[in-house]
Amino acid sequence: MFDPAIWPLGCPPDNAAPPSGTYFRLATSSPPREDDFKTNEEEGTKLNARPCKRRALSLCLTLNDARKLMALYPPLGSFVAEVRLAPAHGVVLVTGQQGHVAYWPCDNVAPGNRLGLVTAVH
Amino acid sequence: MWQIEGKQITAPVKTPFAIDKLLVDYDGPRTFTVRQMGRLYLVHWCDEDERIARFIVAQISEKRLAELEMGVLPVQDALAGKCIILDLSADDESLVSAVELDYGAIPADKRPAPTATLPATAAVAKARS
Repeated sequence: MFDPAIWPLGCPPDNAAPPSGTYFRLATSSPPREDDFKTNEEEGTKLNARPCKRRALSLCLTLNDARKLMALYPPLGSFVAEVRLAPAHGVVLVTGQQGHVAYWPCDNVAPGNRLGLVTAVH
Repeated sequence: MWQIEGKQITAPVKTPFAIDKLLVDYDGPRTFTVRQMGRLYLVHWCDEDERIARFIVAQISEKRLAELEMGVLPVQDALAGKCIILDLSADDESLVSAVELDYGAIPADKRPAPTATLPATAAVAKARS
């Protein structure tokens, strides 16, 4: 699922768990684009950030959590993609921020494949 | 990236940012504080493209920061007035430019919504319950 030849040591973190259910991610269009589901590592940005963090995607636990972020950061997107994740798709870690999880997509869930996880767009 | 109309200044904070307190993370730090020369600054991401990551920076008091964290102060109110737009390189966060301007000069679709507050930390959410 996570090839150790590619992933940094200790990444994803041991306390990340398989996802199960619905999560929400901000999107710049409806339907969402592949770029809406790319990590910093895939985009080549935030080179100073921790390598493991750069490989995670932020997701929200509820539609309301996503809308709060949309209000704070309009350029992040005017739409919210509803995403259904199963254990085969990677691991998630609930962070200390209300309604926020970090999601590490496993190797066979490339950015283009992630669009197939979207079940609705709000 | 939208044009900035303001006065070029020396950036009040060092870059890459040395984050003092992370307030919001979404694919990386979006809103956080930085301390520099005894002053506390609120830094709020407002846009980016392939080359530039753009942040609004405003000095803030400890009291206002506490109000922000409790969710009783809208982010806009903490940034309003004279502020600084810092443009950093999107890959290594090196400084590209620092411009001082009035918060109202920032395009409305790049600013937080007027009543938008920060999401609570788990500790704050628990204290409220």
